[in-house]
Amino acid sequence: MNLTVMPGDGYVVVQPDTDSLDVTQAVAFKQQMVQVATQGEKRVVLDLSTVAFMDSSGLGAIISCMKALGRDGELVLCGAQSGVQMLLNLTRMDRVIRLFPDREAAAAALSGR
Amino acid sequence: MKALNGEVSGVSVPGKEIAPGIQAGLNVRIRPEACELKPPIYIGGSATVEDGARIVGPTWIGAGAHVAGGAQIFRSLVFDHTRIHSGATVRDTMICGSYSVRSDGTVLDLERSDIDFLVRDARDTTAALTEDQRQLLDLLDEFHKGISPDAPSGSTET
Repeated sequence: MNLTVMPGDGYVVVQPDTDSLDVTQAVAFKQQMVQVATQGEKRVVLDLSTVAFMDSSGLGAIISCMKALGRDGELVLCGAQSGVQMLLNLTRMDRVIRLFPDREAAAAALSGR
Repeated sequence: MKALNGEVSGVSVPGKEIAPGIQAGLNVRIRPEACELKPPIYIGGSATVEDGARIVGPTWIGAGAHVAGGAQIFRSLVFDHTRIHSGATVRDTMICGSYSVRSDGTVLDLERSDIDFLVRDARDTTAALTEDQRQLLDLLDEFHKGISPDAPSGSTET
């Protein structure tokens, strides 16, 4: 599992190259996400449009990244497919993390446009 | 759901009205004044709704179900003997066994997603959290404590 990292205007977009963020991928995903968060990037867009399935391990990795970003940073999600959205709804993560339909909407929000 | 809304002629919701628009079967354990309830709601026999639960109708809670305090259920159908954890939000969904089916047809396999500790069989008294599940719950609690109930998605439920 690798993350594609694309710099933006005051933020960075990351996208995993997997369709399943489960227990088999979560460790590598978490390591790379935390690495992005600790490299000075404070605003991160996680593009989940390729991810059809996520389990509690993937969710835990996202939470770890949020913790690594700290209070002055922000992680937002975009492109979440319906099953992933249901997981976020059920666990109430949609109350602590902003969700956007696509990368452009997330970037616009983070850029303050 | 249409029956709960009174939209099906000749069909009446069973049970006794314990509060305006809240019907309950036999042996239901609930203190309506200690919960946030928005009718119409039906609660099946022998179900338990703990203090602090939030249920927005039209919602059908099946017989023997258990809704923990802090759980939130919006416009949903919860099958018999389902336990909803305090950290769970069920919205526009049918909960049946380990499957959650949203009104748009999306299916979430709770067991495969390893979040069946949030929604599980209320009769299974042996179920214990794994260490990973406990850690995830602690992390979720930590985040939820620092936010207002309706922040930040803006999808305030009424």
